[in-house]
Amino acid sequence: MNDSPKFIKTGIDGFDEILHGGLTESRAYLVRGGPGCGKTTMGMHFLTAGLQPNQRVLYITLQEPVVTLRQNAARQGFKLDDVDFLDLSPSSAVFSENQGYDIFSSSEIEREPITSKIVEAFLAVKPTRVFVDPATQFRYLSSDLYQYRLQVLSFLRFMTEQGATVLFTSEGSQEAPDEDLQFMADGVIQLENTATGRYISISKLRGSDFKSGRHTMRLTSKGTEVFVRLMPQNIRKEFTAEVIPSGVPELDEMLNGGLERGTVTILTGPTGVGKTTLGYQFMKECAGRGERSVVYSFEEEVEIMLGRCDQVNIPARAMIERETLQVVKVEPLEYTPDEFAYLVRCHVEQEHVKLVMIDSLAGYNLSMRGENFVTHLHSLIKYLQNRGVAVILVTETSQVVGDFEVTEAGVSYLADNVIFLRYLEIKGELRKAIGILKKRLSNFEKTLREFEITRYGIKVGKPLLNLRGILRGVPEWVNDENGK
Amino acid sequence: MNPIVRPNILIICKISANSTQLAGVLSKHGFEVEEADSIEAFDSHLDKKGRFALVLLDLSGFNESIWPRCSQLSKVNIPFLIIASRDLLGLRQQCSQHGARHVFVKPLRVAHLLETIRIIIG
Repeated sequence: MNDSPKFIKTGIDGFDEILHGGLTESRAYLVRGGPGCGKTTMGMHFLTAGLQPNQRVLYITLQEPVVTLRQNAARQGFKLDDVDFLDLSPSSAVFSENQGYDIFSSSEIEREPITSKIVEAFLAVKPTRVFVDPATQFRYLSSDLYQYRLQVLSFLRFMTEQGATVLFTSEGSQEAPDEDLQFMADGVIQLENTATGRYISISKLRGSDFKSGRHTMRLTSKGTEVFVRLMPQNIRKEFTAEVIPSGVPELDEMLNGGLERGTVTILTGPTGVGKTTLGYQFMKECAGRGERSVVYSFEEEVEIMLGRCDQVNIPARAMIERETLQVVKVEPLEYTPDEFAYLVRCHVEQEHVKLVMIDSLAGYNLSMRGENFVTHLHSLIKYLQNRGVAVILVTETSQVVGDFEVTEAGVSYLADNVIFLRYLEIKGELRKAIGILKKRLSNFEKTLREFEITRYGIKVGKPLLNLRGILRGVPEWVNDENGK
Repeated sequence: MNPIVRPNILIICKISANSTQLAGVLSKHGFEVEEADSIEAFDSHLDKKGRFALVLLDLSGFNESIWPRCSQLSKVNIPFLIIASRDLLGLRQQCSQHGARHVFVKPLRVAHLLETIRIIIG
């Protein structure tokens, strides 16, 4: 006999991933959260996912009437035609026909008929899944706390012992805490709706592992979407340590061949110096080998960027057509960190992307809705590294010339490679220079070279050996051995 | 074979939902029930002396005019129980003075109500 527990899908892919496959069959789970957190929607996913041939599901509503539930479900695309309902919500007659009473406590009057109705409906339907919304209503049907716990426990046991998996909701608050329900449940699912977004987390799951922490959740016109927080240590893929050249011989010489797969490169420099164009140059080379790249553009519009590429001999449009390049415009505040990470994961895992550029870190930071962006970026970067994807992070320094700083975002520790671009003033003319500050996996050229973007592409000159003070931005010529 | 005689109880209650609940519980436990929702209806029932084994009176909504009726019930030996919204010492004393056998305070416990009725009716 196989005693290993069977997992059932919740109907929400991301949530099943958090649960490592789904909910354990024939157990009872509490979904808790304030009004508007998505408890009922989760229940609809749960029930409709259980609509299989020869299997029935039961929705016990103690608050919203079935008509309203069906209307709301239809708006979100749920088909509840085959869902059996037990409507225990109060009818309007309680108010209009003055059916409110105070002579007995409701526990004396309502409990017995409600219990009978539930038992009757359950035995008639024989459901494999039951959703009870909200179970906190049972509190008012019990004369004291002991009776309440006894009633709910036996109610849950009655259903689970007959093979049903139960999801029941609570609106726990300070005034009406629901700790007792949490103790009774085999699992506790917490939903939150905060100023920074919606979140789902699991605080208890008997006999099963799960992905801890808060994960982003979104309620859309199609129901609930869950974006699992990245835990890069769990996602590792073997890859060969190849080098991605830039295609500019002088730059590849400086980089000892190029950027290695699975490494993170920070491209830093002041505004307009050519950081993004340099990033596209690496993608052009990837495309030449038939490999795919993605740019997440947090600041610049896609069309403007493509226009710039046209002018510097980077065939970005053709690369997009051949599906070797994807440029994704990310609007500020559009995604939470988990949602953005999910987007990146989809590109990497489904489209086998080899090179990712985030342009820029300041834009990424702005998009992260007040979250600690370094933590999230760290997870995302580690995930990409583990997958063997090369990452380019574009970061802008505020100083056009003067004191040198790699990045103002405090993320330079993440970088395996740091390539910097600088403005120089030489004989009253504004010029540019490129240098390598750090390269973890190989040797690199320590000298700086002149950097120029022309209509033929990127040009990198000879090493600037006779200049000093380049990093300050106002270099001076030094005499060679011959005094010249 | 003699038919089973079910004790008759008169419920005097202005709040119809309360009256319905009370009647439902008592009927379920084997009592014949009649309901009155005003002083006038109460008076018309009082004229039919000896018909009721017990009167249950919910004080909510009634004024001082209820007390002479209570005294009259006591005079004709019809036991009555009073249901009050709040447990006030003065009210208990008043109920006792007018002959009430017991004062319940809402919400009532069904078991307690039935036990008290059975003790009184026998």
